[in-house]
Amino acid sequence: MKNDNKQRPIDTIVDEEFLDSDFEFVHTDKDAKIHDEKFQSKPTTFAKDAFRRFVKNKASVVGAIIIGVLLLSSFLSALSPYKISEADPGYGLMLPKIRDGGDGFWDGTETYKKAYDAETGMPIASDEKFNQRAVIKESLQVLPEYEYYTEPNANGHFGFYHLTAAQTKRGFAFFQNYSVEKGPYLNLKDTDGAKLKITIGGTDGINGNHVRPFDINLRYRKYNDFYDTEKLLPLATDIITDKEEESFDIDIGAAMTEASVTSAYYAQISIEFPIETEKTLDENGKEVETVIPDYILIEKMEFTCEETATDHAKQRLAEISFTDAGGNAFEMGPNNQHSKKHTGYWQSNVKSNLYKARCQMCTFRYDQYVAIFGLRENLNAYYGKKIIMRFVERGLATLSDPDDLSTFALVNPDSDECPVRSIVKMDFDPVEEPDMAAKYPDGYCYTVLGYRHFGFTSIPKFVFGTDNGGRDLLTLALSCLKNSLLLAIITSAICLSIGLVWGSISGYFGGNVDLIMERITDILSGVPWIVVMTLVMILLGRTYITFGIAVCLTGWIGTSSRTRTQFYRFKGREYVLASRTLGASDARLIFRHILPNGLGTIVTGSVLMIPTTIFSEATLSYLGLGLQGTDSFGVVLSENQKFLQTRPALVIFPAIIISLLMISFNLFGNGLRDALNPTLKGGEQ
Amino acid sequence: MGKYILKRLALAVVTLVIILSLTFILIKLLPFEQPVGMTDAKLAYYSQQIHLGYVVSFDHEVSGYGDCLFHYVSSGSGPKIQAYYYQTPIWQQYFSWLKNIFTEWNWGTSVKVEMNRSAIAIITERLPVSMSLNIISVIFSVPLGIILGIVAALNKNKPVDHIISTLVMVFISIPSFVLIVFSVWLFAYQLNWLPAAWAKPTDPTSVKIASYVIPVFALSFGSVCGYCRFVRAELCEVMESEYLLLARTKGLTKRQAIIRHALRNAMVPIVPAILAEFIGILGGSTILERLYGIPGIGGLFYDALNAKDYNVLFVDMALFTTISLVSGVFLDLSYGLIDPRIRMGAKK
Repeated sequence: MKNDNKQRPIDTIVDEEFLDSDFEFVHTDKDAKIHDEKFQSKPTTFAKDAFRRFVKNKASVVGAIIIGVLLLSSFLSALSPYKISEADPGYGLMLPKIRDGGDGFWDGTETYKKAYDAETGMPIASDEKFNQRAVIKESLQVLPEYEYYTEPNANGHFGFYHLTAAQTKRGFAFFQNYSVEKGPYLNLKDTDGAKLKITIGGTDGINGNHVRPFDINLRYRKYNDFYDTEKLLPLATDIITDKEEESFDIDIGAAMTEASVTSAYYAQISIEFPIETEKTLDENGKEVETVIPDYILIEKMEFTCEETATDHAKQRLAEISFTDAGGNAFEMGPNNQHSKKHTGYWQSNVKSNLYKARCQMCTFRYDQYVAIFGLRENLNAYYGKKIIMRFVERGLATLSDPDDLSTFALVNPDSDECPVRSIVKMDFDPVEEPDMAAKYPDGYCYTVLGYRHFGFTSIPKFVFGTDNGGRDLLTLALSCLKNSLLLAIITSAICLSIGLVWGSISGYFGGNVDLIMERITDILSGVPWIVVMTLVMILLGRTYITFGIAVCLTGWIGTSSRTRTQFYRFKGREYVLASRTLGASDARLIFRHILPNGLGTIVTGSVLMIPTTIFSEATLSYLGLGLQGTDSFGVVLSENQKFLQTRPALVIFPAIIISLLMISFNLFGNGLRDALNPTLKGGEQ
Repeated sequence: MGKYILKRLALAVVTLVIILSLTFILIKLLPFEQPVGMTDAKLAYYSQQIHLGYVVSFDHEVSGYGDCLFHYVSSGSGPKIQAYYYQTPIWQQYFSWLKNIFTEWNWGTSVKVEMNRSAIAIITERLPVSMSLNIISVIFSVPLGIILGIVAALNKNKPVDHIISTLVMVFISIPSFVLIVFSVWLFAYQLNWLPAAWAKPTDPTSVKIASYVIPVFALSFGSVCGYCRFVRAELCEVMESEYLLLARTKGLTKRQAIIRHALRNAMVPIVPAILAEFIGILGGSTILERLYGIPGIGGLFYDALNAKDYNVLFVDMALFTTISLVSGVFLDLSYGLIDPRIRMGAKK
């Protein structure tokens, strides 16, 4: 009847009849006592309500579960069969292994591509550096063509080398130095009469001729302008164009007189030549430009000075050093004191500085676990007559002739208890075959079972691999996790309590108290965290506790400002005023009325501080400014970073764990904030 | 407004002076770092220190100045010249330090990083590298972050929003050094597309440009995620406001309402953050510069700290502190400029 008011014409309403009783009031709940009835809805507490909201947020629940799992597993590091303290570098840098397979996926095998033996020029799989039992036979493939290898090497065919700067100021040193741009620095003070002689030797073995023309420049700078590259002045220069020319001299003394240089100067020798490029076609037919590498073959850098030169000047010259491409220092020549003329020279040891050579290569897959923990012959240094006799005494083996270890025989060949499996006599003449004789100092070759040698009862499986010192990465990562979590939780708790007290006082009392306290926090929070951390670490040492102190020093400021804001928000409310009128003390107002209202925001801030602390610790340790002597993600990552190319797993696994930890803490914290403070839902941070 | 700006600036200057004084005193409390190198370079360093008022020298041993820092005996044939160098008391050093800065703008010289060179000169030489990186990263990351944030907010609770928010969450949580190490590993070592370290001055221009890619990428990641999250949160809040509902009811299309009302209001807290970011251009990322071998001021911080070259370290710290303080003040002031109703830090 109500709904179709619009459609009906007005006169039909007027026509309708109503009774008087339609307009009378009626008591519906007369004499009912509703205050006695129980609520239809269930009562709920703040915590229950928050929990209900938290559970709704699936991502946060996942985060909380991951945190729980990580927390639990961090305590498992103590139960690991591979104790960190008992690790042996003998099985360092093992590959991660989770299954047997031999197909290359997480099975402890690695593929050697273009392997070569610099000594013989043969493919390296045949070399005894590799345990033949561990080479997977099906994968062995000898490459048909000769190729070049480019790294400093003692033995190789057609090698040549180049000179590079002695100091690298920063970062990575590369062998692709196309020109020797920055030469070694010399101090030229008091070296009147000094002469530099540079000897160029050898030939480019591949093309059979010298390198392109190049310039040798001796330049100098005034003492005060040492680092100002603009003020580099030429002192002497020599352009080497004649390919047959083998050495040249620079008379430093004469050059200095000519240039009217009288005292206290530094000089720089640079050997410079223009970069040349060539264009070739790559596999896809695309044109690529490559730089033709240049090599200067320097045999000797020699300084001489007049007999009258002071000892001081000679000492100066003797302090200079040169380094070649391989980072090997030039050999110091004999210092001829008697003639009073030579100050010594720097000679390159040609054998150790070969830079590029060619040889035949092969490709194969290698099972590292078989190589290290299977039968192997290269542990001879650990065994001798004394140790073999110990096995005999224990009844594991027999020795029919006590003076001849080759009569060694196992009592029970089926039992693997004795690490040594067999002994073969190796008699080499130290004069004729010194290398082989040095390899078997006591004249025997021991075949050893690797896992027994290292004290395992079977071949171990390192799921994440091992680091350089043979420590199981999984155990190590769990130990780091424990340390990080412990540190972060403790410091967060300390920061929470300091910040709570500071913020409460500052926010509750306001006025001048607030003004002064705010200035103090302003100053503390004005210093960047890395500055505070490093200062504390320098002053107090790089320990676990110091780091905690450094975090606590400024970490409470966030909590304090949050608490202060909450106090400002609630202290003017009517219920606080009411309580104050009733005579409540300051403590009661703070702890019973104001703090509980703001606690949600404050606690969430502290939870989010945990990942921040873990992050700062990892970052600082990674930079090498943080903890020392404690298992920490930062330390582990920075130690393993040098193996990034060869053993990426050593970096990948810890990085994944720390990232997972950070992600789940952030998820958990966000969920907690939304749950504890519903008005902020979906807001920032 | 003018009075308010002046008050904020004065407070920032006072805070800066207190922080720098504290840092100076703390650093001077550390054991004195001997310069390394030849004797004459050492002498030059000590004479400079005497000039600055941090060290005194005597021709005989004295007590009351702590341990002797350096004992010089002249070599050569003439009469022996001796000199004993001592550190002056810290409070005297502090006043000399103030005097040197205000009269000569002299912040001391390097002991080890680049010996006997003025710390200010070292910093100014390295500043352009960090700045060029930061400028490129800001130009790249701010628009990208804002666009992603807008896209996420306009598609709130749709798959696009979920994907963007999840990625932001993941990348904001991963430590920056992990990101840098992996981008170097992937793009430089595995794929060989980009150089594995900062280009040397001798490298061709193409290598120099290519060596910007990883650092810019690494620097941008954090701020792209930060802006995206910030813009999304602000815009979401504005989208639910009553004035936006009014704008729609008075007949504006959704596009008009968003561009004219929602975005403008959402930008109020975001624009100051962007402005503050431009001051941050002066700073350098220690981790990135160390890992990628960039000769900027962040890497200098690491070098100076490891070499215990406290003079350089101090100037670097001072620069970082100043940047963070100035950008804080700038942030607060620009709030007031953009929305005159807001006076950050003013009395209620």
